[in-house]
Amino acid sequence: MSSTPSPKLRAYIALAGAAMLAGLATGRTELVAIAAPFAGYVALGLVLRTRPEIVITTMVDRDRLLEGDEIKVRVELTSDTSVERLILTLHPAHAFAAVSTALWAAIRVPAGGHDSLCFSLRAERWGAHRLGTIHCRATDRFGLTDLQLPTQRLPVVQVFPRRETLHRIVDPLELQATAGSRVSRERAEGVEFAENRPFVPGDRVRRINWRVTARRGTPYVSERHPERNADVILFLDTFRDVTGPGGSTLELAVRAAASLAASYLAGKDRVGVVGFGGVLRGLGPRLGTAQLYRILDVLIGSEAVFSYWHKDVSLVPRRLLPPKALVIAITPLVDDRAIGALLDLRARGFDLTVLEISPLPFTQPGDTPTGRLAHRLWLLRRDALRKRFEELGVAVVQWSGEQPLQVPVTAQMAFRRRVRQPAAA
Amino acid sequence: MRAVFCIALVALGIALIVTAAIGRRAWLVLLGLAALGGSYAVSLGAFSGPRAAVSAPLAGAGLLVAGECSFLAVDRDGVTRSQLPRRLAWVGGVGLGAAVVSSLVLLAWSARLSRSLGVSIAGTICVVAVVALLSVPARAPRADGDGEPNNDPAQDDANATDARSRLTQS
Repeated sequence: MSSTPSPKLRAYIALAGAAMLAGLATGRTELVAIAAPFAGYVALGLVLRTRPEIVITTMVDRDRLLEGDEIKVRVELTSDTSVERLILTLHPAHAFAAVSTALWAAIRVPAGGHDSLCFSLRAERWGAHRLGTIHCRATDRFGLTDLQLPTQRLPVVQVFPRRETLHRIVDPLELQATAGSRVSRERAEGVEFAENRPFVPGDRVRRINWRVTARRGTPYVSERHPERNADVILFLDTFRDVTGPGGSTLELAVRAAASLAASYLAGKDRVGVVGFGGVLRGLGPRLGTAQLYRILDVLIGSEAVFSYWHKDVSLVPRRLLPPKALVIAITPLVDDRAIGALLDLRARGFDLTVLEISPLPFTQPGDTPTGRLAHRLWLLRRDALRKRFEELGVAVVQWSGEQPLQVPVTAQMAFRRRVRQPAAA
Repeated sequence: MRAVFCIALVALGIALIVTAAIGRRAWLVLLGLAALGGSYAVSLGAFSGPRAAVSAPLAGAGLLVAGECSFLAVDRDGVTRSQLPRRLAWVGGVGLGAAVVSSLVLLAWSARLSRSLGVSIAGTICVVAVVALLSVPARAPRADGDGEPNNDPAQDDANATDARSRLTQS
């Protein structure tokens, strides 16, 4: 806690001193009489100033929220002494913005009094952020000194990316052996009817279709499709983050990953995440709502870490990439290591689909003819890369965040219906 | 000529104070008050005697009230609408007190001490002592801890990074 003289104190002392000296120089008592009130005001203010004992407690109404949600910061003030003016200013962190109300307040706290203030902030960006700081300044009754109270640091809150509701999602080619809500192509115990076939020794009697048996004269059994679930791995490319004024590719990638994870988990699929970049992070596939929050925890910690180290998918632990899993790569397709890893995954037989987070909104062609030519060549190279993936049966769909995520997902589904994935090269 | 100079100083003082209030520049208030006080000092040359004695308390009170109002306007964020009547009452009380103090000084002057070199030296010492006494406690900051505000956004980012790393580890 430190007190500093206010501009008023400096001004009054200067005026009082100047008027007194002028009175002495000219021999006019009137000037001394003018100086006296200023000197008296300052003297009285300095003698009567008290040291405020203020206890400030800050509380937030929650520690987890979604992007765009509001969070309320409550500031409780208790003072043993009277504080004429207490000015609180909330400085939010860059990830938060004020909601209509002002982020400062000036109040008077009586001796032994208690008061509380409430500020509202809106989360603008996902991540784990400290909400900000609260600066408090107390002035005495005379306004001669400013007492700067210790800065209050607000707690860290987790801001989860806002999720889009996806009505349809890409169906995996292969399903796992565990029960789920997807109809398998296999024939076993299930609900969905598949076909009727003649009874063979070993078939259970309860599976006999008596109507067909009566019509054909020989025993027939009904085959059914079992309900299975799938393993879905969200493969997040964190080698590079292309940033611009309106955001970055990693921000969009995390939003897309959160939406996809929520949609697949709602369909009782097992979902895992792999952050493939300078730092390898991952979470094995699991079911349920708890897994969604585990995934979100991993996602909000995602950051592009620059690294020269060459990495390939052999570094990814096997439990993070289970066989027959649908791998959804979310990548800006700008780093050769990530591109090589995706081609490697396809070569290993994984069911792969690529959601390309377009870096184009964050890049501008150069001003010179050479710069414009380089930009065009770069675009052509990206087109060639997409074509190469498509030849391997991998859908590459661009998403720039301007349209709903459902649009590229639907395009992926259409591609997968149209193109049969060839056997792994 | 003296009257014109006085009026010019008053106009300058008012302009400075208005500019200070609009632009929230506290140091301009000092200049404005100095200009107003200077105009009074210049006008004192034109008259003396009881008339001057009567004008001094009014001028002192007026200057202090002008100063209080100016600083109130400069720091208007610190005063809410509900607190304004209370502050204005305070300013009125301060003006009244200033007039009383100023009158007391003039009353003491009426004892008419003989003007001599010794009295002038004593007066000068008193003035210097008063200004020094007022300045010393006002200038020394009472630092009892880290009261400096943290305006460094990089610090917040570092904290967020710490939090991220903790999340990653968990």
